[in-house]
Amino acid sequence: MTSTAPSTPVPIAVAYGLDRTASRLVLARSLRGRPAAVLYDGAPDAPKAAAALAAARADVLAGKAALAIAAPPAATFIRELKTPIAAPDKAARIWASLLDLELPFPVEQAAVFAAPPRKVPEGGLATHAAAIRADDLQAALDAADAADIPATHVDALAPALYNALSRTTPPARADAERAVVWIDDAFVAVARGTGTTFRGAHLWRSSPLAAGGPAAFLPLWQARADAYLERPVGDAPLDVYFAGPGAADTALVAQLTAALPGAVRTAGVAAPRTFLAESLACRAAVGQTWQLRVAPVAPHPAWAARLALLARRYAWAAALLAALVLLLDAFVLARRSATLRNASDRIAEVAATATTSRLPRGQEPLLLRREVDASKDAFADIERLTAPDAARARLRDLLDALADYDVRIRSLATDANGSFLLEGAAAAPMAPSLLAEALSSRGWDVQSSPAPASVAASSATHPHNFTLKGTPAP
Amino acid sequence: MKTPLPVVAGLLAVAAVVLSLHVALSAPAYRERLGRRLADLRAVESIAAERQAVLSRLAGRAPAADGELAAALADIATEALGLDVASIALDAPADLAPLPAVLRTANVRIADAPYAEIAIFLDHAADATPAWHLRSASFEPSAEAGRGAAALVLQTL
Repeated sequence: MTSTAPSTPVPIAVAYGLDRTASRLVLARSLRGRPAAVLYDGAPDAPKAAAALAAARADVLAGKAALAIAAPPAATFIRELKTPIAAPDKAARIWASLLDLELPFPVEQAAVFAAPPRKVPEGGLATHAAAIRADDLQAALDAADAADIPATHVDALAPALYNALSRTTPPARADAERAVVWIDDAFVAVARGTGTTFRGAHLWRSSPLAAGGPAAFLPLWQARADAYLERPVGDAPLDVYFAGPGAADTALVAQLTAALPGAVRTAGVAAPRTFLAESLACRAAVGQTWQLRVAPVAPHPAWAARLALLARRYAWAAALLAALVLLLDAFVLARRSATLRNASDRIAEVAATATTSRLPRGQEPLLLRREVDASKDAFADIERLTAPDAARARLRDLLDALADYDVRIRSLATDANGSFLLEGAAAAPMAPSLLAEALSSRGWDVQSSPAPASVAASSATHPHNFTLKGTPAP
Repeated sequence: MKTPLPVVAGLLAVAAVVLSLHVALSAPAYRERLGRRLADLRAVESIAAERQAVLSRLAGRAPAADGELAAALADIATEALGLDVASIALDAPADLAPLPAVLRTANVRIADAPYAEIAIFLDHAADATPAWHLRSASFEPSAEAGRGAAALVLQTL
């Protein structure tokens, strides 16, 4: 089964890295990927080691932390895979098939991790994949369980070493050729790379720290160092960093360095013994582990507990968020309701000042408008009777105008608007029209008409009957 | 039986989505209702202001008894037109409810008077308290120019 998923699909605050052999135990802890703190570095059977391990175990079993160990390097196969396919999702489906060709056992029987693919200059994609036979991995995990080590993460050694080098000693150039030589009790491993990119891994299954000592190892070293630590093309030197328990032995490092052919610059790392454990912890805490504890090997029960814990937390968070949204919605609805109620209250309050009637709630505007319509005449009367008396002024005006002309009134009627109907008789035939003009100039619209022929002349002195109808000009 | 937390969270989430949708979809209807209600409020405020303006015109007016009104108007007529020239009859008071006012109408019949004196009578009636306003007038001239009989309708509050 190939896994390309992040090794820590859910966030975790704390991760432990454990580097354990028969002669030493190094336990480091990283918080959110920050530089790891070394909790223990010493003999594996010391009481302090048991205490440190017990504390870490308690954290892991409570689902509060992850614990990463390195897969046995002798059983781990790391291969570079290439495909002309440019689509990462399609390429991901064939990594297992390509890897199957490279492995001495069927890929179906292995736990496999493929790193995120990168584009290659000649086109297509390339990746590095790590594989370990499921039986070998299970044996390593059984051994860990026997030692009360709850390994939730199993990382590949070489990428972890190279990653640690990039983090602790960043390359000066992106194309710097670099290598980490890890001198362990029973093996020596080489992790190669360019800049911060891991390129490959090599392994000596013996060590200068083993029973034969450097004398037995050096021939093996010399035989393969040229191939494993191949110099880059051109004048650029290869930077080789020694780490691991053997790197503290300067005489040994000098011997190994002397045996390296060509342009090689060597250096040590700051903390060679704890280098691996720190890297395992940091990688697990930020999801960079090349996680080999994948199917067909079962995940650690503690990790399942961790997932359950996180699921509970997410459920709580979702429930709280949903409750918050519900409260917010309820607040919005309540506020709307209050706004409408306040508007209704205000309408009722204002309506109460406009009428003495009790108006049913909600019908105030309609009933008030009806009431206003019904009392329109009363309003008009009050308005007229509280304003200056226009009708009286109009009548005076009319009487004054009549006095200026030799006319006899037969009848005169006026109304409250100042309109009038005048029937009269004039001495001169032009008098009615002159009177009409005079009234027009005083602000009336006047209609003049001669009296019907049937109306007899009132007198000999005033033979010309007339009718004037006037309305105040607007 | 204890309900699992994810089920509770799921139900709450569904409820939150449903209620949020309701809040969002009902927003236009709410705005329309609020707009209608504010328009109603403005209309009611306008009517109230109108009524208030009318009421302020009525401020300080005290209703008088029929007898007092008729006597006062008769005095004005006697002063302007002479004794027994005018006869005055008051109509029954007309209540202007719901407004707090009563309309009083006086029918004044003048047998024969110069128009100028009738005008003076109207002026005095307008200056009286309460002030009488001319509602309508009709004149029947007599044989002599500038005078005649008149029927006046006067009103006051």
